[in-house]
Amino acid sequence: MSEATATRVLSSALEFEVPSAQQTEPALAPTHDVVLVRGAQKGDVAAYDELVRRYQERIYATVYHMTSNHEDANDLTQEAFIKGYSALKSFKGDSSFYTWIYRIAVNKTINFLKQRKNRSHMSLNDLDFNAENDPDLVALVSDRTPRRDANLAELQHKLNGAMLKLSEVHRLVVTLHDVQGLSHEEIGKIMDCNIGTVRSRLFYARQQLQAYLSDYLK
Amino acid sequence: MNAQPENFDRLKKLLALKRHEQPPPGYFENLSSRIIDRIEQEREIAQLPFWRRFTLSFDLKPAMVCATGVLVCGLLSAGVITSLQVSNTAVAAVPSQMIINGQPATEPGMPPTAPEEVQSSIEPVLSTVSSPSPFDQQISLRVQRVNYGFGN
Repeated sequence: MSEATATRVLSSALEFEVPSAQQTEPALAPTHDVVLVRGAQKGDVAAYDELVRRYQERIYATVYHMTSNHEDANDLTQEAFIKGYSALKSFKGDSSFYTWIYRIAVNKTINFLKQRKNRSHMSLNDLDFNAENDPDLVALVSDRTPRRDANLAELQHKLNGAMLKLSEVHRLVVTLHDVQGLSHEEIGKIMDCNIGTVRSRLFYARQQLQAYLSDYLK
Repeated sequence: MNAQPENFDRLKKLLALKRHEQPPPGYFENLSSRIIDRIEQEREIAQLPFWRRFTLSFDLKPAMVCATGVLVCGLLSAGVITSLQVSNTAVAAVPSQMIINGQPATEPGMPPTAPEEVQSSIEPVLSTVSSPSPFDQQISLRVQRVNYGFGN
């Protein structure tokens, strides 16, 4: 594949809508990714380090929202990037590195969750300062109790508990779309399914969550 | 399927809470260096010879020590059990007519044999089995000195 073709493929792979979350992709990122991937394939660890820095936050966030456990997310994120490095020689550039490493992380996480079945233990990260000032969240909790931080923490716990009740694929779709802001197309590429499947899974997952969290959504 | 986005508005706002869940401060500053350290460590290990990697796995994976211990114990147990089974087979191979009232029966004219000699597993087992062949009966073997001289 020529570099122009590779760049076109990568560009199209990264053209996805960004509904609400901040998924800002640097304009030159695809080209840089190709160069960095080539360097890493030749054994340049510094190039791979740059790729890790570029995507570590998104990969970590996905795994964390899937597991609701910081320690598990830390381990799985590291393992995904290590696996990515060892499998880099088999990376042909048919998809973007971003989609490819996402797929590795997602598969690792789903396998981990299947093995861990019925042994879910939440180890939640703290909410950042902005949570208390988010107008949407304020509207959700302000009429319940004057102690907003305590109420937010309770809400966070309930929300994560409800997420864990979903199946792995439904949780993944909600995480990628409603939390991380990926488009249906991008999710389809990561999950290796068509857009219709993504949409129906998302609808079902939202319905389930709405039922679990009905007390907080009135 | 009537997926109406407005139906999930409040849910989407609630899900936005998860975006505010952040790992401890400074977590991402060290994450990539930890990953690269592990990658380089694995590259070094991959270059070691097999036996060195095997012994190193004891340090990296305590479960390997347990697994190896269990394997060694299993092999030892299997060896002991097998040797006991061989002994029992040797005893069982002694014909019942050879042991009468706890004393080994002997051929007429032969000196009595001590029980431990008959039951010993190191004695040839097949030699004690009576053969149905008529040629084996009443045959007494005698050792004779034979001299071969030259120039007869």
